[in-house]
Amino acid sequence: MPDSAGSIIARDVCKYFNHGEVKALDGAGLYLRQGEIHGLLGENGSGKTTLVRCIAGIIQPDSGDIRIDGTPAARLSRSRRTGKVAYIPQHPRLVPSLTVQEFLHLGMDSKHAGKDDSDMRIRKISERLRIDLPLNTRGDLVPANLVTATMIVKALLSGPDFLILDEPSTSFTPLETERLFLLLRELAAEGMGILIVSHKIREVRQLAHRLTLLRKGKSLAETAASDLSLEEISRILMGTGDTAPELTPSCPGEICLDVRDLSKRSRESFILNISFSLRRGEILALSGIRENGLDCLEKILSAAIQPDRGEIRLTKGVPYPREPEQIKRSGIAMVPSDRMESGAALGLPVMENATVLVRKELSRHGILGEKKKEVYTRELLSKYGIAAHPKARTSTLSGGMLQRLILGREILSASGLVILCEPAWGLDVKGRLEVYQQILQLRDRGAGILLLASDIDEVLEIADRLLVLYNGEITASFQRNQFDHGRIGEAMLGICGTGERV
Amino acid sequence: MLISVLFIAAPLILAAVAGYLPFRAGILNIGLEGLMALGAFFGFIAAAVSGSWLMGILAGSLAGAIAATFFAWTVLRLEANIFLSGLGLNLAAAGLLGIVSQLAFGTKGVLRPGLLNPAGVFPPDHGIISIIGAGLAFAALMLLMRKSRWGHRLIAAGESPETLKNLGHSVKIMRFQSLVLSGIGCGAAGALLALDIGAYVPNMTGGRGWIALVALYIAGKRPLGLLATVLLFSAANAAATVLQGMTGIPDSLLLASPFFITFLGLVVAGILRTLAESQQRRKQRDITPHEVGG
Amino acid sequence: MTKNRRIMVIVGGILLLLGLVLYVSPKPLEALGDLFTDPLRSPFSFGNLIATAGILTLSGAGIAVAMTSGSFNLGGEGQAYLGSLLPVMLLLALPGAPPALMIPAGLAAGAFGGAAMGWLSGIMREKIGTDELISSYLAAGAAIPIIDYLIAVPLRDPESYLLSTPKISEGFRLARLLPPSQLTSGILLALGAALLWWFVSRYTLAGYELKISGANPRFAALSGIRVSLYRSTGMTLSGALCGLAGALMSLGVYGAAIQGGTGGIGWNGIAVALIARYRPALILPAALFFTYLTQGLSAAVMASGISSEMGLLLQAAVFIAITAGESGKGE
Repeated sequence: MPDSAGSIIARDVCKYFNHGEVKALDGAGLYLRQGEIHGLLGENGSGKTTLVRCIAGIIQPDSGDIRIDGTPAARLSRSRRTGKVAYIPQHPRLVPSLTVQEFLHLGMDSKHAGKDDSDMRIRKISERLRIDLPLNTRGDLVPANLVTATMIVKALLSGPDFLILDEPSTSFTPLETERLFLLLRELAAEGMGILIVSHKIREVRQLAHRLTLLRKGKSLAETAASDLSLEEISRILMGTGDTAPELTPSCPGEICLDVRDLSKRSRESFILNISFSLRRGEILALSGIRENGLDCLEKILSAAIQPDRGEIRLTKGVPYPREPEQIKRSGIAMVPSDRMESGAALGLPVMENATVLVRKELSRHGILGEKKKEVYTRELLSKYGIAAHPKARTSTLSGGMLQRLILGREILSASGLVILCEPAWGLDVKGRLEVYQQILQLRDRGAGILLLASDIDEVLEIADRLLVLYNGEITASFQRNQFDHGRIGEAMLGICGTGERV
Repeated sequence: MLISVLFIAAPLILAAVAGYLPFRAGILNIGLEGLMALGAFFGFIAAAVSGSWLMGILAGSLAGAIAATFFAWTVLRLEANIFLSGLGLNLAAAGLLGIVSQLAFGTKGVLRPGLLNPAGVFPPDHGIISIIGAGLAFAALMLLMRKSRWGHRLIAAGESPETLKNLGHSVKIMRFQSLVLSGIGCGAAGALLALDIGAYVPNMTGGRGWIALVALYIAGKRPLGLLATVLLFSAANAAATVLQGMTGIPDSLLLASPFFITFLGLVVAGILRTLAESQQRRKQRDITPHEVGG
Repeated sequence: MTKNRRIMVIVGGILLLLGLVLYVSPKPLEALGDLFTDPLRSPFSFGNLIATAGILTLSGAGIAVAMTSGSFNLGGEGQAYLGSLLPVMLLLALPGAPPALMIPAGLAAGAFGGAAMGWLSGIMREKIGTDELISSYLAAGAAIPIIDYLIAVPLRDPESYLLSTPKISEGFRLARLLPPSQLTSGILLALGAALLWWFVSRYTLAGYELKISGANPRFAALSGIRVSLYRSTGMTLSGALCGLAGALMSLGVYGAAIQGGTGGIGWNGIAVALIARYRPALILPAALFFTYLTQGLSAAVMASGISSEMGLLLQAAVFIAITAGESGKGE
């Protein structure tokens, strides 16, 4: 048993969501020492944020052991825990109406420090960190990079022993990242234990002393940072697999989606000069770590935001819709990754949700009979293996079944252009098989399918072509006969993109 | 004239201040009207029996606090729908007051001090106390929200509850505290009303709680805006009364005017807000850009 | 919150009310007996039960329609009141016209008045983003004193000992069933409306789109449904139903618009809609149940003079108990 004083030890941590449906953590573990910078690496969905939130005390693990300085975390009172472990979440937000100074004072009781005392400490810390905080600026006007700086100062105010940062440098310029890392090194040298969660393998490997690698909720490796090469890290994080299964060859037809020089810089991510074309009858996948531009692209395609530059056109040069409500009317089937909130009306029966896209076809003279809805719903349910009664309340469906319903509904009624974002999310193995089967059939029926997916296995399963997004740009392209799990993984992590350069 | 406007405004300001706290914390207390009614009733009784206006205000505040605690329990613990629970509070208050009045005093009508305390003296009209009280309450609010940590936590509870939770504070407790305070404030406002009039008249709160609510809705987060809105309504009310005296516009229309005015205020606020929003949307569709570096 | 907790809250509310009844009555057991039997005691009370239930079916359906479309109609009181005045004004103005024409016209006038108020709140929400909850309440709050005034002064019937308009001619009133109670053939209208709403909700495309608009507006919009249209239509229909409820009252036995006569139609309608969980098929039973309870409670405390207050408490209890343990319906 390693020395437990001055450390955080997590072992065999398991965490389930959705009443046991989703296994976010499956025996994950971590060993963080004071004075050490520890990198927690993993792809999207590996469980990094969940593990870290368990350690910080934001959520409780379902099983496993977390000890802070030797004491089981569950026994620590909330205030003592926040006193020892400071947590900076992934997209930190300030309080809009409070100035930075007021925000920093928030939560500091007068027992711990008087107002002037706190002000002095703030000043001292800011000086040390060479950060100039806009103390009198309101929270909603503070620029993004200073938000993180504010959070760091706030974290340090309580004098913690451990600092956890979740994807701190996602929207930073290289210069800002450099300064942050410098700061972290200094803090570690003074004895603070720092845990940094990131998908930026290259940078974290240089920064950290030790690394823990997570994949699908399990800790697969824990080593000194220099012990593993980038390629080795990539294999562990992204997995290795067999070559892609044989698919019937695609017969691409006319172009149904044409993207030229698309660029967007938003607060949280950006894309730069993205260009590609999708033809009918093929499945094109865009893949990468979500923060590297996939989420930005998805938001543009769901008309939630508009690009800064570039163009998107449909068949015959028709411009892409600019309002979410127009997307359906343009005949595009778009399934967003956050489909749970906007994908169904949970209080209504299953058949109401199932038939929403075909409601006009099923009705006659304004009358929409129950029988017709039921028949259609049963067909949908059986195609996707959803065990439910059409009249049951949709909220009784398990998460996985609901996902199948939402996806299945779109796929079944689609023709033309289909955009699927992270279809694998929320589906179990069987569900994926059902969905993939339907997607392939859809493709064979002549639809053009754009897949935005960060899951390599999914991409390998059904894509005809693959474009890898890294750092906002398309850095690699693969035809199906070139699919190689290892090389695709490396491209997604930005470790020498191979394949044809686009 | 100014004094009469302030006089009208005083209980409104108190009620608005009271309602501001839960509003800022992210909870809309629709039951302001009922809380005021309870404060008026019990405040009146206490004042009549004791002869002291201070007792009246304390009793009113206490009644409001108890009712608000019950309300907070239904909303925060039982998770009842906040609008319906607030409406329920108003209805229950009206019902309970009628019942208590009937059972204790044998009438559901006007209660005069003599009924309760034939020998005693009811506190004399201290209109100025209302005005001072309202002013103090407002000043306290400004101080609380600007300077105190509790006030800042309240703002955080309303604007970024997640962040507050991450810092180890309970959002529910903040909301609960704000609701109880709103009960105290409205109860005191109601008591002041009864003291001013010198009697208890059923339905004497006459929609003031609702006007305070709509003033909150219109003025948004800024206390000064709230003060201005309330003063505006009071001025309109005073003007309407004067007009009535001059032209003999019937009482009923006068009763409708607070609703009318607030309705118009709602329309104006809505139009302004819609214009501002479409302007913002035309400027940029995403959040503040940050410097494009390297 | 678990289902059991919920039932406990409801039971607790019921016990509180019963306790109040027992406390207040000089003969508690008799009072309890009255509670359960009074509505069935005589043609008078039974007829009133059905008549009131019919009116509450209309307003309850109105509230349910609004909720189903995603809106909150708090102006039912004003809509019903206006709905009771307009038909009388129309019918008093044209005393010679044929009843077969005028009765439906009167009912339509009532529905129209309520619909206009509902429409106003709906349009305000869509165009300038004001909560229809507040605007409908304010509109009603403004309308009620004005109508009070109209009835009390310019339109007043000098010979009546009540504050009311002159009575419309006998021929214009709805046929009485079960005298001396208030029950009229209007009950058929209430039944018909409830049935129609049930049918539309369940079997029509429009009803379907309305339901989805209310259940998850974002989902509806992304599916190509015109949410704002349905939401404001919901408010308009809601107002129409409440207005119709008011019209039934003044075209009923008394035959005039009485000041305060429609009091409670709006609030009780909300209670009924809540009890029915907004489901079209349950509105009629819910209205019957609620009216039964209210009548029973009023009779039980008749001796102590707090009958109307019991009604208020019952409403409050329904509002709180039924929504306890849900996660926020409405904004």
